[in-house]
Amino acid sequence: MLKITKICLASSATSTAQRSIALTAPRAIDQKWRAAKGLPENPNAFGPLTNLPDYTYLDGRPTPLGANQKRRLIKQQEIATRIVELSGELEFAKQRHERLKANAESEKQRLIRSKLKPKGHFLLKK
Amino acid sequence: MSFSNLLMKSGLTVAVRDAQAAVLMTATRQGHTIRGKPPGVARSLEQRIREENVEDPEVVARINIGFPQLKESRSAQLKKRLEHLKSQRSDKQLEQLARSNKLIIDLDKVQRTYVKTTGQHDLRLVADHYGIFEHLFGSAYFVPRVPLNISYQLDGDSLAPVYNGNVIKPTEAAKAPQIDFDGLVDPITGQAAGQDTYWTLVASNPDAHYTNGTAECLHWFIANIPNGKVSEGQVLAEYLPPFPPRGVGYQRMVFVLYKQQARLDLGSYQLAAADYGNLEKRTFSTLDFYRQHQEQLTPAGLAFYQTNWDESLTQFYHDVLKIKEPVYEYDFPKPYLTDQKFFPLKQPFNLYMDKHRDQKQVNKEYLERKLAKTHPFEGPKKPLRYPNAHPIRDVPSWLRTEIRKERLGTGRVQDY
Repeated sequence: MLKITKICLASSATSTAQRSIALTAPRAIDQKWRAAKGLPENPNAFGPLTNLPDYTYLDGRPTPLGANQKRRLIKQQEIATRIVELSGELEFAKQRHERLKANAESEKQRLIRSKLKPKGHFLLKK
Repeated sequence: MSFSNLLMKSGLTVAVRDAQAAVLMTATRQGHTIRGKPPGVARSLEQRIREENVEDPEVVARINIGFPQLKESRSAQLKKRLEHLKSQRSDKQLEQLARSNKLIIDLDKVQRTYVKTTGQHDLRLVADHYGIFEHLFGSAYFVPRVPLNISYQLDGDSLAPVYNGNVIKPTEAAKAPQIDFDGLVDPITGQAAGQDTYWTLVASNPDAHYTNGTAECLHWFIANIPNGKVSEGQVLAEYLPPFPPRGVGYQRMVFVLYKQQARLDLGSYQLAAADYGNLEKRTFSTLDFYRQHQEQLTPAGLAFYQTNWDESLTQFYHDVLKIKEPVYEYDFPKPYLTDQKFFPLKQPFNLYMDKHRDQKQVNKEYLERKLAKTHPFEGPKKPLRYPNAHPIRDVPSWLRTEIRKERLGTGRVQDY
């Protein structure tokens, strides 16, 4: 049985190794070096060639935004709005949980306090 | 073994050459499989229910609001019991009576001893079973230390005593009962109190309130009873007989006896004579009443009985309460009836048409037909001696069936 297990495991490893090979452009770049430098995975997604305007006016006029620049700005705004919305919901959920817990605790205390005064063997101590 | 068949098959030839045949046979398992965890490991039904109905012990903890009882030590009790046994065994007269089958056990004495010893604890258990403490005092309870003897006077010299939940009819409970208890004894020590004692008796019905499900109906309220003499107490609410409506089953009537520390002014609970039959004015809450006076009052006695409807209550509702008598009956769900079709195939047309009509109208028409064939002075016709021997002619087949069934007394005539 152990030999069967070994052979099967070897076959599985071979299949996995073959199936996991992937050839895409970001993989050709030295990602370890880029991560150590704090650079993005895709060099074209961020950087001076991407974010800065392609030309400037000599008389100081502001350069109009390009189509992709505008699209990226709008995307960033949407992401920021989404982050604010979800953070608000998370904060509300936390506060609601705290409020429900406090309500349950106060209800329990109310029930305990509303009990009658115990007598029984306490009357013997008078 | 979670390997696929392909891998298994590809490796099988290698394994066969090296491994023994016995190793392969252990890979398969015959027979059924146990679903879930084995019985010793899985949770039992009781454990499962307990985990689903989690209760906070602090919230459901019960509180004793009654009197304690001072008892002598167990060794002293045992010594007394042994002395009693020795005296019984050395009694020659008792032996002679026993041998000649003339020994009569005094059951009244047995009852008195039982009431003094374990009777009150049994009464607490019975009251717990009937939900008296839960519905009157919430999470509180008490052991009644003062035995209450309550009995209703019947015709002649008969009495209907109130035990621990026996059934007493409203006819038997029409007048105020006689109440007898030992008011000169201290509930704690069992000795004579030595000074004047004051008691309060409240009789209420936790099941009788029509508008407020959590309130009770106050049937009797006597305060400042001196030394157990009920007739000398201050009656704050006159006795109202029980009035269980028809159809609701049994109701509980609970008598609670409180011991007062001193005379109390309970005038705010006085029920005016004009409001004797006003049920709203008789709204009462034992829990609120006791909470308000729990420094002065301590429950000491308890008795209750059950009662249900009888015919005398119709007059009571009409004359005393001055309301229409309520009748409760089960509201069965209506049987399912599909929409009416223009061509109902395979349906007898007369039954099908009546199925979609108003039942009261159908009943009325049946009654009219029956009365039309009944002589106003001679009564209905005598039934035929041999119904099927008389031919039914010149009528459609469905009408012939109706007439035949009517003569035989079967079929739809039994629905009316």
